[in-house]
Amino acid sequence: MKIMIVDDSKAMRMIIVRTLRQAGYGDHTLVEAASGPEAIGKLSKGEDPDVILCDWNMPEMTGLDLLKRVKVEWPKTKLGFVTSESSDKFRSAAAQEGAAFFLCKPFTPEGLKAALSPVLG
Amino acid sequence: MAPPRANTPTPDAIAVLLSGLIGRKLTTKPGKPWIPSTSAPSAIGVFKHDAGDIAAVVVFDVAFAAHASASLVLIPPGVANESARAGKLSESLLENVGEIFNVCAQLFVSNDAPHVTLKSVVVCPPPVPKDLVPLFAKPGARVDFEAAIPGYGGGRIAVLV
Repeated sequence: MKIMIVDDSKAMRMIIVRTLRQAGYGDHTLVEAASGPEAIGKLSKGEDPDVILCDWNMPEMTGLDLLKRVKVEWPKTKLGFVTSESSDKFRSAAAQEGAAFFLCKPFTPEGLKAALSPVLG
Repeated sequence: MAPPRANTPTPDAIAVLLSGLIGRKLTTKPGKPWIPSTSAPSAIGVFKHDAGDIAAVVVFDVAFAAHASASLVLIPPGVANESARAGKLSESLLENVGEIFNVCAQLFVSNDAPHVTLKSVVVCPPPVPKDLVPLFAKPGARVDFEAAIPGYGGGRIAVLV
């Protein structure tokens, strides 16, 4: 299984990797991207993650815009949000576009596992 | 019409949020109001409503900023101690502080309050930017407390709305 982490914060990518390991996903292949365009670049070059963990607010491209693009061009890839946005407005928008999950920062290994289990099995 | 006010978080809510992010349970105690200055170096997270007006600021004194930043990515406490002693944050420590502030945005959010996002992170010194002076001079509400991070150190936190 392969997991892609898309977040413009290096610290947050590090925390997500650490939490994935704590949640039991240490044997999965982890791919990182610091922006939506970088994620698209990697997907275009053949990276085929089973799931993308994506921030919402990023400078060049929002996570929601990345989701819209992924849905069309890589429909087998699931995308879920790991974000500091917490209001229902954002949850609804994510659900409407077919996000796999919506996890608020900060999150626990248990919370991350609960979000990922239905996606990764 | 006056701009809408952001929610004012409690020290407990702030400590719970930061504890969850850092992965260590912060201890807190009441603190006195303070203002960032040359003698009180600080990192300031500036939060704005979507309309562009300032909603709130979260202020960490340099000691708390250094320890929170270091503990976030498991940098040795000695690095944070050195930064606190010097009264300065390195670029990488400041970057981590920015991520902590980013997560703090949800302290001001509720379904019936206007949307708030972190717009900038500034350090003091130099002096507090002019557009923040009115908020520091006369906040609608403020929360001041001290927090310590187990295994690391602590310092002062202020939230002004």
